[in-house]
Amino acid sequence: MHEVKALICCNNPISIPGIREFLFYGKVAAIVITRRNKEMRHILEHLLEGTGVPLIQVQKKNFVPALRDALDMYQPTVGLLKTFPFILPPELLAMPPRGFINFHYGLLPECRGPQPVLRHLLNNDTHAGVTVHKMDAGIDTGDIILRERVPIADDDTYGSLQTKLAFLGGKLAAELLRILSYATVLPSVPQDESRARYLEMPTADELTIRWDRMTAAEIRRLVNACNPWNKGAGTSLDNWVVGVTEVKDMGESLNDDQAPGTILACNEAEGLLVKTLDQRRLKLTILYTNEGFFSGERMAALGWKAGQRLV
Amino acid sequence: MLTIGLLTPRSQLYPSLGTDWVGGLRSFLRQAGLQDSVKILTENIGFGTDEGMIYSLAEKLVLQEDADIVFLYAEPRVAEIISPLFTASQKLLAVVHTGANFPDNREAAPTTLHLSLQFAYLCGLTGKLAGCQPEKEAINLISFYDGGYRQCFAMLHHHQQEGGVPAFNYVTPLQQSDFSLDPVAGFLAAHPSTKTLLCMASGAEAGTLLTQLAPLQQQYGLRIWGNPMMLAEIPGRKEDEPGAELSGFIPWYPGSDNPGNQFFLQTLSADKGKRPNYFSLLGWECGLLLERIIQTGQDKAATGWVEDLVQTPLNSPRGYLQTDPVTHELHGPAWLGWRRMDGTTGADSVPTDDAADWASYAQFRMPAGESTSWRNTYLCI
Repeated sequence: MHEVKALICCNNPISIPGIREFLFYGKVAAIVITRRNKEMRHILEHLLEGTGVPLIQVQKKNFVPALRDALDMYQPTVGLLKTFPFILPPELLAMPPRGFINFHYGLLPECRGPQPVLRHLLNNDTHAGVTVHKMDAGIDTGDIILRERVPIADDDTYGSLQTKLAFLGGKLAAELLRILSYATVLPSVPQDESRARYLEMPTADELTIRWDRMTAAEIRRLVNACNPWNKGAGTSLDNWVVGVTEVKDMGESLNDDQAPGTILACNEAEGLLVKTLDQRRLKLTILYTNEGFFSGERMAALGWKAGQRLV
Repeated sequence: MLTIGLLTPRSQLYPSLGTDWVGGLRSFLRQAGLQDSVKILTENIGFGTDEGMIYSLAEKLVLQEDADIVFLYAEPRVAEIISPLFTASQKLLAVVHTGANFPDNREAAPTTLHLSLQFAYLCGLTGKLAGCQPEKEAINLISFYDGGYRQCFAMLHHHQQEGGVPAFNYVTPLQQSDFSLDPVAGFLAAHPSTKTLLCMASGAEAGTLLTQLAPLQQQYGLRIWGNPMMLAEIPGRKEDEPGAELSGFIPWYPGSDNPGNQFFLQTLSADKGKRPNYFSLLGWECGLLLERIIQTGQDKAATGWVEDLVQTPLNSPRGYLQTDPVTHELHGPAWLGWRRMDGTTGADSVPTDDAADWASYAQFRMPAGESTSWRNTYLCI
């Protein structure tokens, strides 16, 4: 057995199940988060209570010396990155004997970049997954140790998919811990660069419903991809931008002459129904405005009515 | 020449498990004239609970001995942490087991194969068939040991999917000295209309259940469905000893007249002077795998061998084994076996080989939530 003591750098609750695995077996030297992340600080302070594991908060301007100090002080055998937002320089990556290992909550090499969960949904992929890989000088380019896929369900939102991936990350963390304990040489496989894609943060345009170009199924997928983190996919009526948080396909539309995006109904009985490019009646069941989250039919009270057109 | 590593198990429940497995492999290689084409290195991994030891031995075989293939007799759970070693080194890992568990990740690593007796799959088919019967209410009678493997979940889940209703659950006590079917008898006395009993056991306890269930079966007209080990040779029990009658799907019917099976039986009998069993069957099938790999060519390496096997069925004593392209599980037909009250056993002459049933099983994942399992390789206690 080889000693395992991890310095974990994280920034999102998706990493918590994986942290728990290492914490349960007493394999955490210290945890590093960004100072601005109050949510993670609150979660981790509670999780670490009574464990004696220090929680270190860093800022972008000083994280390199702060991490170097932590690595010197706690002498971890391995560093783990889980959604940590800052890029570590090579000299830090080389400090622990087993280097740094990243948990990328997306499938590599196809989905490199900062928002893999979202990208898998926006790409209409059938599967998402978690990739555990060695860190090298590139971004999401290191050799792969573990990689596991999960199917994306038809009704998966960003939130539900993120939860699935969080627990998958926990499972892979448990496997990684065992491999780190048993393996003399950490096994890994280089990524196939012919399949690699780096996908940037999505633009506002990518998160907006294009009624004239998107089918009902595509709109539904986009809306789910934006739920809950973006409060919904964007659309507007008379320059009033709202978020569409949930939709439901209500079947074929008989209003052939109405343009896509036309409100077919907005009332208590039928809800808020909008015609789509592929002749479907899409019910917008939940919307977000600055005033709050509302059911579709409530928008009638805000002046929405049949015949108006969303763009 | 191929270098083969064998990580062999130990069992007190079935003491000859390991030697029968290796014996089946060696018998195949001898009759195929391949015994000089492979160099075999053997290590014992006990009951399969010490993952660290298993990993170290696998690492030694791959990195120091340069083994091309390692046959590991262990649960899929162990394979999940060892597979990366084989993927990275482009060597083949063949995980051999009874199939009593299925892995959480149904997508296999590129150079990992699973050769199993498909017990969880077969128990699922048994539960499904039982659930299709008119009598929906069932007693679930599970041994303390066998209940700790996913085959148990598979049988009960599929029974209930077909409308079956659990009327009474009973787990036998851990200690043999505490063994009693009084609670089951008491339930039947109060609910004599319950006619179905799903039963899972192995080893000597399977024999005890067969004996003690017989009078209850006769008194209440029970229809009993069992797991494969209740329909197999039972340690310490005479071949035709009377007992309860039961049915259930099994991976292999020794009485099958398919030429491959007859040849297997004759060869083992001549070679070892004993009747083959599930474990020698698995060994023989490891030999079939090796033969195919040798035919494919060593230059192809592990990913090439796996790709070839996905395209090429192997003619096994139990029927044709197909390799699933996603799970890399070698799977064969399912035989509906039975045991009569007079102790005789048999199976339907035509096995079931339903692609839809297999596809459903290959995609199945355990429901979300916590579950526990024994760490031992099934039957290795």
